[in-house]
Amino acid sequence: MATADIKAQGRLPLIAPFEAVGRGAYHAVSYTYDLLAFIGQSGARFASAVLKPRRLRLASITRHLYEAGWQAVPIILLLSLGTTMVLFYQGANQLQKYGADLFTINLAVISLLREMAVLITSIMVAGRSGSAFASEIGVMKLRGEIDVLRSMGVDPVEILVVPRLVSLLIALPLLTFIADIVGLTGAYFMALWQLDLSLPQYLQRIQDITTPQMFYVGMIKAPVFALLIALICTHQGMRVEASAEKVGQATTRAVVLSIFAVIMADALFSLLFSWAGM
Amino acid sequence: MVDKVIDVKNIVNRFGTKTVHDHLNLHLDKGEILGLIGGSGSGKSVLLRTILGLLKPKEGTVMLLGKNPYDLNEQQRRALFQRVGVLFQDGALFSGLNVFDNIGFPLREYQAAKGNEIEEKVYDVLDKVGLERDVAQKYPAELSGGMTRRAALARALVMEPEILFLDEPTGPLDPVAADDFDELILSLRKNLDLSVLIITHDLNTLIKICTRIAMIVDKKIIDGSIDDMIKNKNADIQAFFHGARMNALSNARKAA
Repeated sequence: MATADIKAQGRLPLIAPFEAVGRGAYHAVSYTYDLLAFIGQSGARFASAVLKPRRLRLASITRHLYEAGWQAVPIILLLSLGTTMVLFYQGANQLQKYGADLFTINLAVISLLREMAVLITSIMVAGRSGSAFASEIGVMKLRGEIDVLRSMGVDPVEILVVPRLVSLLIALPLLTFIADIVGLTGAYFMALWQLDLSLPQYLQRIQDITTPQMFYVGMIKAPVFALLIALICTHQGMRVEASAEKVGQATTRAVVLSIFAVIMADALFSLLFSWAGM
Repeated sequence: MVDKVIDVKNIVNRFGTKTVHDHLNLHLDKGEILGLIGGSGSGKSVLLRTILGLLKPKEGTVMLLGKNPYDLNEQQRRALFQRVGVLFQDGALFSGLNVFDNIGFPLREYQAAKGNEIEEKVYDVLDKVGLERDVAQKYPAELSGGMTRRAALARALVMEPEILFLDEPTGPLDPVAADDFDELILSLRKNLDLSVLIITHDLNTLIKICTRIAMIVDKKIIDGSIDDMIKNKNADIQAFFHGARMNALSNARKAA
């Protein structure tokens, strides 16, 4: 029996739901407070590291760039290619009925550049690297390695959080760019297959319908999503205490929360861009 | 007057409604090996964390080498903690780094050595703690319990600290390995002019190497020599030093 079940015994059944709501609200508020404090601390560390580059841990940044960036390239290629092709295929099937085949390219390419590339990349990075951030730091916390750092007067945020943050800030935009390019390639294959468009025709069409703005709208979101993923996931790692069970929970929560945050932020961006007329 | 390298006064630590330390006092004189004991949950590790500046006490002051770690800015903290070596429970080596980089970490972090000098100092301290040089390339997961502790001790010693903290260094070691470790601490103290605070349950360690014993009893410290402690009539102290464990104790004393 889980601890929650044991705790639930011996209480008035009518009160339980209210208690659960109150408890949930309390946890949500204290978590938010905790996260904001962590963001503040990380921000200060990040700023001081940027001002004094000696404090940027280059070895660590390189390692995370390799793991979170370079090693993610194949899966991003595959995902971006697959998603764009599926989107194109479904779009083409529907639009053909109205004789608007050519607009499939609008559908696939514009949604790719504005939304899909950066979203797929961010979700993949949250799943691959965000979980790794949370579990690595969580295990270090558990094994007392964080205490060792602090007992040496070394700030664990400077050494564990900032390098991961910096590496995602670099890697995620690059991966998004790669996803853009690969997605465009995928869309070309589909255009060739379903619409019988040649490469020059396809490129002409792309030039007609896309603007640089669409590309920038997607790209500008990448560093913001990187920030969200890196901070939420490292924060979950730092919150681990006492038991190995907590590392698993923290990892799960890190991924769920960071994907949630990415999608919410994406919705906010959509609102902002539509106000700004982009 | 003897220098007090650690002077903890009127510490109060409380978690929720549970008070762990109630106006607790503790000091460590220069050159002493102080054994800190107490039942499970009596707050030994909490006290260690308080002294190390990791857990600010609700009340009271901590003086570590004449400085209050909670009053320092970052630079001063780093300067202070260069002079302190800690061997945490289970060693707490950085699992992502091999032994060489673990031991070299403080040197690099404090910029206390460069290039070849790092190598020299790391191998030197490996010799001191009795580890083979080829251990340097191994990762913590590949080490036995005894080797892990020695490697962690090497990391604690590489900056040539003035105070050494040991948190249950012989805990899960077999008796022979534990004995070796005690010998090692004794010889190191002689050679390196250390003051040592050691948290332990191991009666052999207490008798063999500690010059004074401090026990957390009822949220406060009762301290004295090993003989003082055995004579003490307090029920908790009696329970620790007498009963089934007494045999081991008297055997060890005869042997010593």
